[in-house]
Amino acid sequence: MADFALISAKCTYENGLFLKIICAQGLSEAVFDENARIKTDIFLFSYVFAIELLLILRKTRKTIAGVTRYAVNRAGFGNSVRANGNLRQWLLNALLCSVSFEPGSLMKSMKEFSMINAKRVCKSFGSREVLTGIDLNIGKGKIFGLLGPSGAGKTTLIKIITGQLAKDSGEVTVFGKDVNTLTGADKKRIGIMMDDHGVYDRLSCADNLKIFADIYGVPHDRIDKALEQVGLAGSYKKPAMKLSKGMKVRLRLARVLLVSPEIMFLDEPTSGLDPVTTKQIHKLINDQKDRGCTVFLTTHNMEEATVLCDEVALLNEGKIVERGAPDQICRRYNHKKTIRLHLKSGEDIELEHSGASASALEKLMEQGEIETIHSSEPTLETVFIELTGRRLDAEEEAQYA
Amino acid sequence: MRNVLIIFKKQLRDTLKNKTVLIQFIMFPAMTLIMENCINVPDMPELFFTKLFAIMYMGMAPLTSVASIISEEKEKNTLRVLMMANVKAWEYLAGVGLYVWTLCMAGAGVMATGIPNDHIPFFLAVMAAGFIISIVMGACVGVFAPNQMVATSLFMPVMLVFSFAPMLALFNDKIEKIAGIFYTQQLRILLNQMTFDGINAKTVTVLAVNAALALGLFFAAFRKKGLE
Repeated sequence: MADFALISAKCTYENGLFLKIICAQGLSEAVFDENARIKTDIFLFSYVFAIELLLILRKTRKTIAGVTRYAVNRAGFGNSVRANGNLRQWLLNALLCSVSFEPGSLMKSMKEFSMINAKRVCKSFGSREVLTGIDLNIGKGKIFGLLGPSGAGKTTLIKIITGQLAKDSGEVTVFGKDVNTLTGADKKRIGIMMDDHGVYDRLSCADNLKIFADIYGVPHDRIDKALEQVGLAGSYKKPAMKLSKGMKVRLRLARVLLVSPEIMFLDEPTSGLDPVTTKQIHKLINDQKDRGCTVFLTTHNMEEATVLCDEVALLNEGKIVERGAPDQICRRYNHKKTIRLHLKSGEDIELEHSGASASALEKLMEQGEIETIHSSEPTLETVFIELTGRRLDAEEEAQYA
Repeated sequence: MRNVLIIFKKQLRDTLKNKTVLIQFIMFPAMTLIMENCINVPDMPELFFTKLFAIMYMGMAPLTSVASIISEEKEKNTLRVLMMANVKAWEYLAGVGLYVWTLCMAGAGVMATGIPNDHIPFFLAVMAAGFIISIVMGACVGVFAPNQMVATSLFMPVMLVFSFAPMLALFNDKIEKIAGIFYTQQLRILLNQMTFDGINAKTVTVLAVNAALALGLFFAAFRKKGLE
């Protein structure tokens, strides 16, 4: 068995781009000693391939050098690779070859990375189609935001993904398993905070968490930590009914954090909260991401999505109309490409992104005339309006009008 | 079984702070003690108040408390959270049922303090059987009702029929005949006799039919509504 230590791992798989990433970022920076043992940080590898390699090592009981030969020979291009004599290139090819001869195991590894996967999910209530062919793929350690106005189907989708609601057609996998076949142990790796989930009002914050600590088999000393994490340490004995709305949300979040889940589903986690509480909750969500938790959140707050999410999907009338990183989406829809300036004189001017504008801009800066300067990239909301003709909060405003 | 005990513990903590449900468990045992010790009317049958309140307790407390607990959890969506934490429906129902049964039996124990020692096992056995049927009926209502308001409007007539019919039967023959088909009336007759020898085919049949009906309705409600 080779001297192979999996120090730490990071998923670099993203929507089928993993091979590219491996070649560009992974192995090109890997360092090997003369015995062909991995010396460097395993971060440089794609976790998918590291697992693949580990599986082969265990299976064949060979060293890394041995397994590369094994893989290369089995794939049938040993001579050409060996002729190259470059160990790095050799190992790269070996890893890629392992894909060729172990497709099943690779797929299994990929599913492990795709923490949440949905394919062509459809759902109707009576004659009303709520979701029509939803596809999602969310990797480990990502914050994914599902954006859409009220009634777009966000909660329905989250309920289908968490197994609370049956879908009409399509496939949903969580941890690589069909959502309907998740075991009790799997469910304990998932934390769900739905907008309408309540707490036991008459019980204290600590007693509320004790129930779930007992159910999940979590030691009671974790309760203090969970309450401290959400800033409710001072409300340990306070009945939940005496908490403010924001504090109740934090208590519900503490209930989710109690078990340190690998996936968190958060349905409108900051809806109706004040900016300070919202910021605290954003910090908590980011902390979870930092420890490797995958977060699936629904919101109709585009600022929240821009600040928090690695990837967002815009949902409208049951269809995903756009997806990607928030800044990428905004850049994609930046048709105007202008710079807006507010001058000290009070005048507002708009300059185009062009060489001709550069000298004008430079001149104004030299003269110290510029008060503020903004580029014209659209926000997620303006993108949404452009795509659908609707505002994200339109229905909500109508409700309260 | 672990989750059943967790639900049991949760209910115990919750009920101590829930006056509406707590009063159901305390009211009749307390009234029995007070009335038996304070009122002494000539020619009044022995243990009159104990037997009267025991039947009312049996028909009222388990039914209303089980229905209230389940419907409240449904209304506040805490039940859904439990289900998603992998608590099975049967574990939840068993936990709530066991808790209500235990508290009711404790109340029955208090009521039995005025009964001669040799009659206590019989009294507790009758009460235990009655509580079980009432708990199943309460679970029917709780499962069927989406919230506490609907639960109250459903359990109120059921509870009134089962708990008051045996009392009204004391004063009216026609009501006595009709009340004979209810488990509470049959158990009242048994309590009057205070002996296992009083159990006859009619008693067993009525109890079995009532229990079967309660179970049938419970499974129908559960199949239609589930626990969410």
